[in-house]
Amino acid sequence: MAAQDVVPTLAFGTGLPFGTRTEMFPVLPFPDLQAPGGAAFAAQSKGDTSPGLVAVLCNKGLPPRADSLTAMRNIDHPSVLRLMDNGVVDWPDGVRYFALAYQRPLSPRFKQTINEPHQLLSEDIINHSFVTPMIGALLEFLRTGVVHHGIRPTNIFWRIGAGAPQLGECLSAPPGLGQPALFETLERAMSTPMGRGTGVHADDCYAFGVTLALLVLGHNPMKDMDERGVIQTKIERGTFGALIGNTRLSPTQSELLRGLLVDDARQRWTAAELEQWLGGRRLTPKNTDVGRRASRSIEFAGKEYTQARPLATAMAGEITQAMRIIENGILDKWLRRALGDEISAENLVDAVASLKESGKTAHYDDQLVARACIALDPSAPIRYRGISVAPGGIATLIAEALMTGSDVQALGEIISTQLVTFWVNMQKDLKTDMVPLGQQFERMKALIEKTSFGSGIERVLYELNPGLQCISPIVRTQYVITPKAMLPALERIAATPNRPPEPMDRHMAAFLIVRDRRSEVLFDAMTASEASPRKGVAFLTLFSEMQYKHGPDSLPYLAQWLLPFLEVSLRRYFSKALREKLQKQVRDTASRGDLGVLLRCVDDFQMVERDQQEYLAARLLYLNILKEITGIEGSLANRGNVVQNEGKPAAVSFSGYLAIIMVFAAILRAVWQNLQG
Amino acid sequence: MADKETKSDAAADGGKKKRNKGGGVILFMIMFGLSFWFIFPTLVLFLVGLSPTFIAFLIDNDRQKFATVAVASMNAAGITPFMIDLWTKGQTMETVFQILREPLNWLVIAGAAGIGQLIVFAVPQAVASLKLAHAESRLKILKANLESLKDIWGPDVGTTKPIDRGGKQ
Repeated sequence: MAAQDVVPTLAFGTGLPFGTRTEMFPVLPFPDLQAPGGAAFAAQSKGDTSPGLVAVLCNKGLPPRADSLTAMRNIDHPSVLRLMDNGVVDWPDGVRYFALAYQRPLSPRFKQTINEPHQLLSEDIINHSFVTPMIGALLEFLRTGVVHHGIRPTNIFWRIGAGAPQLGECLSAPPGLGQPALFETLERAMSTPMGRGTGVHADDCYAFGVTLALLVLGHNPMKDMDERGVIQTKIERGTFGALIGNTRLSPTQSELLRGLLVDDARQRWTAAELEQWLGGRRLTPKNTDVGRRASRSIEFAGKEYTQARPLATAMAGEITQAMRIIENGILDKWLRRALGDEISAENLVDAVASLKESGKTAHYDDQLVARACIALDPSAPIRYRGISVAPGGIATLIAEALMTGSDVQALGEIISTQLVTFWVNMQKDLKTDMVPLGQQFERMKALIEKTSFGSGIERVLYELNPGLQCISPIVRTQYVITPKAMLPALERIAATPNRPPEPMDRHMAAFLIVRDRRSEVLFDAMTASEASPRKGVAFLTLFSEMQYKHGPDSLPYLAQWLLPFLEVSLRRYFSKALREKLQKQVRDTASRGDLGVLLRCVDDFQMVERDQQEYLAARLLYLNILKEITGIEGSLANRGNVVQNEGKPAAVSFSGYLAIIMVFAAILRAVWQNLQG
Repeated sequence: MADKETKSDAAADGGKKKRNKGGGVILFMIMFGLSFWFIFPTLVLFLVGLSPTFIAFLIDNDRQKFATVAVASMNAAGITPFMIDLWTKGQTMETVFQILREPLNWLVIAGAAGIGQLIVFAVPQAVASLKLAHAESRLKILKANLESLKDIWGPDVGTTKPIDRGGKQ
């Protein structure tokens, strides 16, 4: 920990600011405090000379748990590392990352690996130094609604005999990502780590129970097993049986562990019951509820099964054979006659009937087996085409797939084929709690089937992940987590020489529709071709409204980025002079970066109408002039006609006038002669 | 009923007009017959004096007889002083012959008719030249206007194709 000693002597200027009042020091990494979401570095509060913080940089491309930040900041308990600050940091590599500032742990990690043995501790020390403070932490989680999903010996900072244990960070990665299957409930362990989703408080109690069991035993009894083996053993023997086995425990410890390690979440002790236990009230220990066993086994893929849960797990991996036992009725008979589970059998019948009624033929086998697995083991995750995901974890899994560029087809099918709705309908006592989840996914089905800009899988991503940053390739390096941060991010990108051709894509559209409540109609115009003026005007309308609402006041680089699209808009004006005048005006306004004024320059409807009217008048005038020119040219080509039609009548008139003058002259002469004489 | 009355009124008016016209001709014939002997010398002088006009009429191929009209009007103007002389000296055939015998008088009469013919030759050409010169200058202005319109509105202003709303809206 040499780095810790160096921090106070650091110049303040070397820190990178983030959050409201924190700065972190990239030159001072803390490898020991690395988190699932990224590396740890020294940090301190601004103006504070003591180096009391550690910052976790979420640089592994995993979505942090932004939805739990506020609740976590409200927790101030000695057994929980206090979250002091969070925010986006400008990292020296030019990329912006999310960072979390925690209070520095007082002790090192309790264990470096979960398989590391330790000396046996007395029951009194365990209860006094570990259980009591941890129950306090769990009570805080219950009070604030935080589900930690990171309770395990390697994420607890504790030295025996040196104060209370401290739970490490849990927000830098999706819930349960860094958690070994041993510390996850069976249902969560069966999901892929990214697809576990945010569970319930009872999941933390379970993890605490497993941690406590390892502490009591002094070693990990399942250390030789891989994740699959751990799950299999837990399924077959129940968690308590798998961990404790025949080890003799004191009645108090046995009672506590039985309460915490119940596999049925409804029966498991929560922090409230733990508090009662701590207060001396003795509760009835729960039975280890290993699943119901059949009177005779069923042979599947070369193995014999006597329980529904292991059979369902095996069926998910053997689609062809699973189809065979479903369609030839062997499974139905086994459920009714050998297992005596009429409910599961009826569920299976419903699953087959509902799928046949829907008339869906794409991936029929996969869908049928997925539904059959849900019917057999309703609380297990949805298993479809190699994916095992809890409904609550679909959001994170989509995020991970889109961030890494993986295929999201199967996830999309889980939503569009209403597997989640079926899963919710299969839940027994918890069904009413799950109804909102089912309704949410019904809505997602409608969204994912829309192909318009701002809909589809991207829209589902942001609807299901309220705290996720915009993962558009355009702004990914800028870590845009709120609509307010979008324009400054675009401005920074616009200032770079290799900015993308357009300042909008499907991700940004979906992000803004969900987070900034923008109308979808506006984004439809953005799919128009580059030759359409609607595109530029749509960009400008959106960004000017956002600038008005969120700021900043000046966005000159973004305005410059939009100029080529606005040039197209200016072509709506027929008058060259007006166009040139507006072009100059637009360039001047763009340099000032006021998008509202720019929009008024480009999209003045009255000016467009007036220009069009004047253009029509000019066309009419042009035609009239052409007609007159044709007439004149005809005259010039035929002089004889002019002579005949205009010259001769003129000559007649002229001679007529001259004759009249001569007559008058003659009369005057006669009068004059008479007067003379 | 009203239509019938209107038609009968119109027919009555038409008959009255015809009668009036016929009456006018008869009245003119009577007046001409009564005054023939008094205006005979004038008539002779006029008809003989108009002989250049008759020649112009005969050689004028133009359907509208512009040259004849022009010569006639000048010819008539040329006779006028001699008609006045005739009326002031008493309308006698002797005076008529006296006038017609004088070559200078014929020079005046024919000269006037000649001026008429000259006008017919010269004025149409002059008028045509003026007109065409004006047309040429107008043509220049109009062509300049076309160019100006193209400069202001672009080359499409000279077309009749529909306005490209897709590109312009």
